[in-house]
Amino acid sequence: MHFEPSAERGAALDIRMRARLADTLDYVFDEAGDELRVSPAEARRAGAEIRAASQSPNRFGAYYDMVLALEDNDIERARGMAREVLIPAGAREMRVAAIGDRAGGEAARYRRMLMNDPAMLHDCDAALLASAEARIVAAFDLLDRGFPAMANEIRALLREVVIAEGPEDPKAPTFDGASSYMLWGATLLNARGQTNVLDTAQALAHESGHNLLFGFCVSGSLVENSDEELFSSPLRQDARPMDGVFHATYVVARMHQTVSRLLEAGVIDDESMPGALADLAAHRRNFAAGDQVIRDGGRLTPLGTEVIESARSYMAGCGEPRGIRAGQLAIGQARR
Amino acid sequence: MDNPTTKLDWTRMLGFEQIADGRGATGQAQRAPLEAKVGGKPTPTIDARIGAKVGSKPVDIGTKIGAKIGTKPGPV
Repeated sequence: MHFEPSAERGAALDIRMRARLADTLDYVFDEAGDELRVSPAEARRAGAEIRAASQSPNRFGAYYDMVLALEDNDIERARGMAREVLIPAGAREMRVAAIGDRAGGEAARYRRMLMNDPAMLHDCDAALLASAEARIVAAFDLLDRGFPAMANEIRALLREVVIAEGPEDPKAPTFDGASSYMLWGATLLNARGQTNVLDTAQALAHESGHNLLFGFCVSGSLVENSDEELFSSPLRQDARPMDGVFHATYVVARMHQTVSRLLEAGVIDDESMPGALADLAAHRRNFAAGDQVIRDGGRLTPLGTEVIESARSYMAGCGEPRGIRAGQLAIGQARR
Repeated sequence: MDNPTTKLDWTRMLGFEQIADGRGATGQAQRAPLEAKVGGKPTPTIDARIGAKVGSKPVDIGTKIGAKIGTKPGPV
């Protein structure tokens, strides 16, 4: 397994995840189609659509809501969710949209699946939304110029960048972005979470990295630790399950790679340079801290070992970006 | 009417495969959303929120499914 991003890798993971959803729906509708009132023809059509083209994350979310309603023995709700699963939802292009810019049920699902406390998510006012959208466009432009492989992998992995506003109160709990296994291809960004284009580019690399890991572990986990075992995480003050520490550590390496390649490509302007160098140093420290937690407490599956070794190999071999002077690095390190 | 869940082998279903490995783990689907802190420091009060989260919905669902799988001889 390699650490380098590519559109081909993202597309292959999307195909595999869709195939798993289609196979699952074949199975569920075969076993419980009568109770769900889904005809064999409807089931076949849905499976064919899902296998044929990228899908809205909402179709994945509706599937999870359907089977969890079954688990709750709520057959009426499961039937409603099954009707939603059957609605064609092809999504060939990546969409950037506010969380409220979708039908009511879908918006509520996104809030519930992307955030443990949906009350933290607010609709942006028009000005904040416009500035967030402009930053995302500029971030993709920056990546296209300096690290096109990352830009193309993100486009292959993500079907939706969802924008919401976090709490305005600086003392309130907040977030910068979020991803959920149940919404394959969606990522949430806080319109207040990034204030410049470089931060947004890193946030996109970060959040798409979670989706990348979801794709890697479509049929199995990265770690054997239970979710009740908690450890310190390089990116958060609260203790996290090993799966979360693994995710954070891996995506930190991905952020380091992004900043490093942008620096090497010479696309970071002078104004952003000190922040970029500071971020680079912080990512290296955070990766080392997270990796030590994994080495000390992680019980990795063979897949998890392979994935984290790819990140370790990248971090061990990347050195400092070419063309960056030692004095500049010292300035960056002093900023954090 | 039959209860459809009695027919379903959750380990064959996307997001719930991990129940198959005998570790009692929840499926991928029940994992909490991953909320990133890209810049700045998390506020201290986030601890309480996450603490409540770990003990609430994702674990409840996983426990329920795990219990169901564990008390039946297998898929029917």
